[in-house]
This record gives sequence, structure tokens and C-alpha cells, in this order.
Amino acid sequence: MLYLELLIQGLVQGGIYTLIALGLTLVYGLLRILHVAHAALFTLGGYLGVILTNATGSLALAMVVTMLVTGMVGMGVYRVAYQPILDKPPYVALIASIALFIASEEIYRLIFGPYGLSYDAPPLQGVIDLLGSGMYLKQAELLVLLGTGAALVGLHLLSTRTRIGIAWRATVTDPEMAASFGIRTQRVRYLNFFIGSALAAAAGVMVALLNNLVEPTMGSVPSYKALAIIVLGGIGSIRGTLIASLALGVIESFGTIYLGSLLDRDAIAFAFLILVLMWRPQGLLGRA
Amino acid sequence: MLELTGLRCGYAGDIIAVQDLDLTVGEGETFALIGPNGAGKSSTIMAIAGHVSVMAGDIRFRGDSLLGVPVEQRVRRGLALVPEGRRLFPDLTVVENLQVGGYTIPVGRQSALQERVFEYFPRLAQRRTQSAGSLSGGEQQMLAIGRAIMAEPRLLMIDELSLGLMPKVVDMCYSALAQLRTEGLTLLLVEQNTDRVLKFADRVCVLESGRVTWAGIAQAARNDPTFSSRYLGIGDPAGSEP
Ligand SMILES: Nc1ncnc2c1ncn2[C@@H]1O[C@H](COP(=O)(O)OP(=O)(O)OP(=O)(O)O)[C@@H](O)[C@H]1O
Ligand SMILES: [Mg+2]
Repeated sequence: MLYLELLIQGLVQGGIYTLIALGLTLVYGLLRILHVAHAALFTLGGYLGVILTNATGSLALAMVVTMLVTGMVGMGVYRVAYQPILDKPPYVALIASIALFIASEEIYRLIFGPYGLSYDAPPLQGVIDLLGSGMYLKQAELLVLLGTGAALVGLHLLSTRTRIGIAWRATVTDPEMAASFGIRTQRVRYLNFFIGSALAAAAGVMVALLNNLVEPTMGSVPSYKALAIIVLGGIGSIRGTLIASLALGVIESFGTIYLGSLLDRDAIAFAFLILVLMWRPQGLLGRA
Repeated sequence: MLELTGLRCGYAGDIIAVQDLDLTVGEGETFALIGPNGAGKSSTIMAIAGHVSVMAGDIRFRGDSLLGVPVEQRVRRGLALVPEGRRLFPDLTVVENLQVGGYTIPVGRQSALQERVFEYFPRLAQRRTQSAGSLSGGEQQMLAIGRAIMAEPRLLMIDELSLGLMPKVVDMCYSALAQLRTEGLTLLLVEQNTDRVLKFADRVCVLESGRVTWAGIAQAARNDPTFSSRYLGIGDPAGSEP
């Protein structure tokens, strides 16, 4: 029973990682940019979620508005920070991205204050008895699992069943040829940033539910981990990202129980990353 | 239909691929661009498509200059491309590749176009849901042509149609083109397979090191036994099969 509980806890954490890392994978796949500032949108999502829930009393409404607004901010980040330097070598965009991420923490500190915010009345804190098995799961944790599943199914349907989704995949493989057949690749990039940022925002709202706390620096550890995850997954691969996210969540969950006296959660995560990359430098699903 | 005047195009770092190129392709005409490796044939086609930068001169298509027209607008004006190396979307299925080809076409008309492509190339119909990357070389070339046909172009540009293909597959592609030509499609073909294209084209232009060395009626080139050795650097004038 303990194993099953640890497994589920790990999957919940892995779900959060998935939602954050998907945006990074999508941006990398399309633009070959390591979008470090992505984690700033995760933090923004957390803040907006708490503030809007407190203001309206509705988590659902807050979630929708937060995802839309953060998605649009993500498009703005692309327009302002990346689009002007796309023809420069990739490290230029990387530096811009790191700068933006550092600046964002200070901006959040200035706007929202240094001590963090909490829900006035934290929603979804009730506990569910899983199938009457005596295994308990917080409602918020169930939301993470369902939300991650929904995001993956939604992305899959979008990319295989819709015109824009097919255009998107074509643009990822060969932007020149995609443009030759009339695809407005600029729009595809905006869509890409919108979706990735909205998913990160959803993760921010969910983390705020799990911890009942948002603070300016909440994005820093996830930003390192999400970078590690996309390397682990074989950079640019959505399936790899999913597998690496869930694996990392589960390893952390078991590791904190069995290795907790030696290493803390984040150290376990990075030790795992280093070991896997020694064995498969191209990532789990990367091509050699 | 297509008019290049004093075209100079090339790549970053002052690399000039084509210079002082003048050529006119009339409506419904089949025009062949031939010449040795590195002559600038692909660069010319890619400049028309908008992927190679134009340094001087003009490209006019159906009366308007294409300079400054974004790549994604050119297909809307009636231009489609089968590039060197085909450049299919390997992870997309056959049908999805065709859907990208018809991206600018209203959805209602796409299925009829798709059926036409499958009529020309029945082998593609059997492989609708297979990924393009897993097709054979011949099937890939058929798909590349099909993808371009899906855009309902007025001018179709094909770079190295027969490269690396079996004669039977080449025949199949050319018979599809012959059919399309009777419906008024204008063709600009770059070919290694000189014999073949001289039989198929109306007019020819020979490029070498970025400049035109011969231009005229295809029939004249065909009837001149010294043509290949003089303009294409091929020793034996009779045999130019690769
Ligand atoms: N991407 C590029 N960057 C720099 N120079 C290039 C590039 N592509 C082609 N060139 C140069 O431009 C010139 C013309 O090349 P192009 O590919 O147009 O020739 P081609 O006639 O199509 O030859 P082939 O028959 O081998 O395909 C060559 O000198 C080539 O080295
Ligand atoms: Mg070429």
C-alpha cells in the first residue's frame, strides 16, 4: 500500500513537471531556444490563480482566466524577447531568456510583495478515498492527474485532428517548406507560446493548491528541473518529456522515503538525471 | 507568366549563385533549366520560391513583382514547389502531407484534389496513413508532386524530378505532368536527366557557373548532336543517362 501511495504521489509531482516541461519542449522543437523564462510564466500563473480565486471565489473561473492571460503574456514574451533575435545564434536567445527569468522574480517581488500569497479559503483540500481502498488522495492532487491527462489528450487531438495542429507539426519539421505551402509560421509560433504558457500557468495554479503558497522564487527549482527533464526526454520529444517527467516525479517520491536521510528531494532528482545521462547521453527517447 | 530580369541571387557571405539571368516562361509552357552541378539551377528556383535572397534584378509572376512578397503569400498567387531532395514532412502521414499542400485551399475542395492525386499515383492511396518518412524513394517523389498539386498551382517548379528513381517511376511522374499540362499548368523543370527533359519541354535554358550559356527551343537542342558535349560537359553526346 505504501508503494502505491508513493507511486501516486510521484505521478502527481510528475504531472506538474509534465505541464511545465511541455511548454519548454514545444518551444525548443519549434525555435531551438532553451526558454528558461518559461518558469516565470508558471509563477505568474500561480499568482494570478490565487489572486483571482480570492477575488471571485471561483477556482474554475480563476483557472480559465489565468490560463488565457498567461498564454497571452507568453505570446508577448515571444514577440518582445525572442522574435527580434531569431536570426542570431541560439546562445543569444538563451542569455535573453535567463535575463528575463531573473528580472521576473524581482518584478513579482515588487508587484506582489516578498512574502508570498495564499488562498483565503484554499479550494479542493478535501480528501477522496480511492475506490474505497483506504488510500487517500487530496482533491487537488486528483485535479493535477486529471489536468495532466486532459492536457496530453488535448494536445494530441489538436496536433493530429486539426488543420492548425498539422500545420504546427509541419512547421516544426521544416519551417521553410511549411511557409512555401502558405502556413503563416509566425502564427504557429504564437500559438505555440500561447499553449505552452497556458499549461505552465495551470501548473502554477495547481502547485499553489498543493502548497497553499505562491512566492516570487517558486519558479526557480522547477525551471532547472524542467530543463533537466527535456534533456532527459531527448530534447524536443513530447513523449520523452512525458516519460521523463513522470519518471522524475516517481523517483523523487520513492527517493525521499528511502534516501531522504542522505539527499534531499532536489539532489535525488539531479543525481538521477546525471546517472541517466551517463547511460544515455542523447536522452531516453533521443536519437543517437 | 514568369519573368526573371537581370536576376542575381545568392547566399550570405557574398556568395553569388546566379548572375544576370533573364528568362521568360509563358503561360502553359514547359520550361527546362539544365546545367552541370553547381550551375545555380536550384538557387534560381529557390529564389522564385522566396528562400534564396535576390541581390539584383526582378522576378515577376503573373504581372506583379514577387520581391518583398512573403514566402507564404507566393503559393496563394499560384506558385508551388517540389524542392531538391523533396523535403516532405517525414513524421506526417501521406494524407497529412497532402493536407499541408492544400493548406490554402478551402477544405471543401481538398478531398476532390486528394482523389486526383490518388488517381495519378494509386500507390499513395494504399499508404494514406503511413508516415512519409517510411515511403520508398519513388513514393516520396510522387508524394512531393502530389503535395504541390494540392495547392492548385498555376506554375509548378520541380527540382530534380528523376534523381535516383527507377525509369518506371519517372515515367509515372512525367505522365502525371503531361496530364496536368494539358489542363494549362505551366512547368519549370530542373533536370539532370537531360534527354528526358529535352523531349518533354518546350524551351530550355542552360546555366553554367551562374550564367546562361544557351537558351532556345528544346527541339533545337535535341536535334543538335553536339549539344550535350558543348553545354553540359558530357563527353559522349549520345549518352547522358546518369
Ligand atoms: N546554402 C548555400 N550556402 C552557400 N552557397 C550555396 C548554398 N547553396 C548553394 N550554394 C552555392 O551556389 C552555387 C549554385 O548552387 P545550386 O545548388 O543552385 O546549383 P545546382 O545547379 O542546383 O547544382 P546541382 O545540380 O548540384 O543541384 C554553388 O556554387 C553552390 O556552392
Ligand atoms: Mg540543385
